[in-house]
Amino acid sequence: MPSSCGCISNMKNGKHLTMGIESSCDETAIAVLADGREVLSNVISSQIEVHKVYGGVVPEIASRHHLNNIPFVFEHALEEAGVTLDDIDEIGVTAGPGLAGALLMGTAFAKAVCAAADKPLVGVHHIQGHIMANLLEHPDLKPPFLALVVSGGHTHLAEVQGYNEFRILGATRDDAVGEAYDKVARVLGLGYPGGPKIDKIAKEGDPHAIEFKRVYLEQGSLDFSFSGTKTAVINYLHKEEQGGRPVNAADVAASFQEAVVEVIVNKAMMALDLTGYSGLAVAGGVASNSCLRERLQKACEKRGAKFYIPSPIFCTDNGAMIAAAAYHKAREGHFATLHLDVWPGLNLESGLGKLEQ
Amino acid sequence: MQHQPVILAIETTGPLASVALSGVRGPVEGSAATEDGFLELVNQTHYSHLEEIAPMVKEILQTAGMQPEELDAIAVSRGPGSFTGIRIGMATAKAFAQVWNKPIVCVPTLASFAYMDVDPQAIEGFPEGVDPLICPLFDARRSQVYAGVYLPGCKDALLADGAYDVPDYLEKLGALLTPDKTAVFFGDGCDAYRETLENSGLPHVFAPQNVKFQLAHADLNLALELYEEGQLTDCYNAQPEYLRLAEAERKLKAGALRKMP
Repeated sequence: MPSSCGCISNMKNGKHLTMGIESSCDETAIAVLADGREVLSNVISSQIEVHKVYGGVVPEIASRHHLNNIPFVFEHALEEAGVTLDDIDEIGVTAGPGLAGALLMGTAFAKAVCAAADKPLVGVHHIQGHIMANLLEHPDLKPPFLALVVSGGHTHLAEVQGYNEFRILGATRDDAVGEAYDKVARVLGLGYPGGPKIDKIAKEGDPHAIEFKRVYLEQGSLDFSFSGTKTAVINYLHKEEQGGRPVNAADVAASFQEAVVEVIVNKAMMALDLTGYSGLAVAGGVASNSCLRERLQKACEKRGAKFYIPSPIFCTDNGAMIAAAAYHKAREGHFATLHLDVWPGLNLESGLGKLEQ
Repeated sequence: MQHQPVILAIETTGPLASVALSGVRGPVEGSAATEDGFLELVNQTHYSHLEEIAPMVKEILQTAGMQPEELDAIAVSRGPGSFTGIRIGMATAKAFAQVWNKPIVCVPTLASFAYMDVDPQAIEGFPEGVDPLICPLFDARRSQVYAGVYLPGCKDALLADGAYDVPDYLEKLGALLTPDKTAVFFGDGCDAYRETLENSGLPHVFAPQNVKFQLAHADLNLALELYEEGQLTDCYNAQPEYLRLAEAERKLKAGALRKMP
C-alpha cells in the first residue's frame, strides 16, 4: 500500500469513502470522494500533449500511457486525500463506453486492487459519471431530472430517472459535438484539441458572418447530427480557397459554433418542454465551452428552469464523477464482480446490467 | 533445504491466461501442485484475460492455502505478445504489487519458453541423438513474428528477441541449426505460419498442444532465476516489452504522417 507520505488516516472520520477510476480515453484519473460529494482528491493525468502531434487520440498510445501512469495516479489520489486504501469503502471504475484498450487499463487495475484489498467493485458507465458530476456541487439536485451530455465522444439528451436508471431522449446520429469541433479546428489549422481553440478564437469573430447549415432532423426529433454542419464548414473553406479569397478563421469558428450551439440549446429546451422537468443538468467536456454554457444558462433563465453545470474541472474526464456515480450505485446495491468486462459501446439506457454480471 | 522464494506469476500475453505459484507447501488436495512446490492454474478459454485474471490470482492463493504476506515477489510476463494481453497482465501485476507492497519480476516472454515444463526429446517425431533449439514464435501480423532462439533452461538468446519477417527468421534459425540440432516451434506463430514452417526444409517439430502457448509455470521458473539474481523492479517502474512501436508512432517517425500544428 502506498504509505510514503506517512499520513495517518485522519480524513476518514466515519465518512463513507469512494474511489473513482477513469481511463476511457486519454485521461488517467483517480479521485477519492467522501459521502458521495466531498472531493478529497481528484488527480488527472492528461495525455493531451502526447496526442497533439497526431491531431487526435491514438488508442494504442493512450493505452500504453495509461499503463505507465496508473500506479502514480493511484498513489497520489490516496496521498492527496490523506487516506489509505484500507479506508476506502468501494471502488468505482469506468467499464464503458470508450476506447477498448484504454478502458481495459482502468478496469484491470481496479479489479486487481479490489481483489488484493477485498474491496467492493462498482462498474460505472462513463456518461453516468459525467451526469453525476453535477451532484458534486449541487446538493439540491436529485433524480429525476433532465441531462444534456456533450463531449468528444458523446451527445445525449437523457432523462435521469434514478441514479442508475436512464432513458435516452436523443443522441447524435453521426459525429459527437466535440468530434465536430475537433475536425473543424483541424481544417482551420487550429490544432488539437479543437473545442477550447474554437471557443477562444470565436470570441473575436462574427457568429453570423456565415450561416452554416443547422441540422434539426425530422420534426420533434431530439437526436443530433453534426456532420452536415462540419461538412458545410469544410465545403465553405474549399470554395473560398478555390476562389482565392482570404478566410477569416475567427468568423468561421464563430459561425460554426453558433450553428452548433443554436441546435443544442433549442433541442435541450424542446426536451424540457416534452418532459416537463423544471431543471437541466449539463455535463461532459464540451460543457466547458463558454458559449454553450452561457446560452444554455440564458435559455433556462428565460423560462424559469433551473440550470446545473459542473465546474470545468468536473466537466473534463475525471475520477470524482466516477466516484460520485459509484457511491450512489453502491448504495443501491449495484455492484460488479471481479469478472467485470469492458464495453466500448455500452448503452446508457439498456446496458447498465452488463456492469453487474 | 533452502527455502524456495514464494513468487506468483501472471501470464496473459498469449491466447491462454494462467497464474502459477512457487513455494507451495506439500501437495494440495485436488489440484496440480507438484513436488517442486509449484501450483498452476490455466484458463482454457482463449483471450478472456480481463474477466479471469484477478479472480485467478485470488483462487491460486486460496487453493495453496497461502496469504499475500508470504509472497516474495509478483512475476509478470512482460511481452512480446498481444499488446492488450501484455497490458492486462502488467496492470494486474502492478496493482497487486502496489497494494501488497511487493517487488515485481518482469519476465521476458520469449525466453520463458526455454523454461517450459516439457522434455523436447520426448516430443513425437523428435529425432534421436540430437539436441533441441527452443523457437518461440508469436504471430505479429504484417507477415512477421516476434521470435527468438534459445537453448533449454538458458535465458540468454542464441538469436535475440525481435520482430522478424518469417523468411528472415527462418534463415537466421537455419544458420544455428547445426546437424546435431532440431528446432522446436512454440507459440501461436505455429498456427499462423504453419505451412511456411513445414516447408522451410529445416529439421523441426511442433510443441505439443499442452505447452504450445505461453504458460505461467514457465515464467515462474525463469522468474525464480531472475529473482535470485536480484533483477527486481516495482509497480512504478515495471515496463512492458512490446518490441514494436504503436502504428501511428511508427508512421510519424517514418515521416509518413503529417505533423499537426
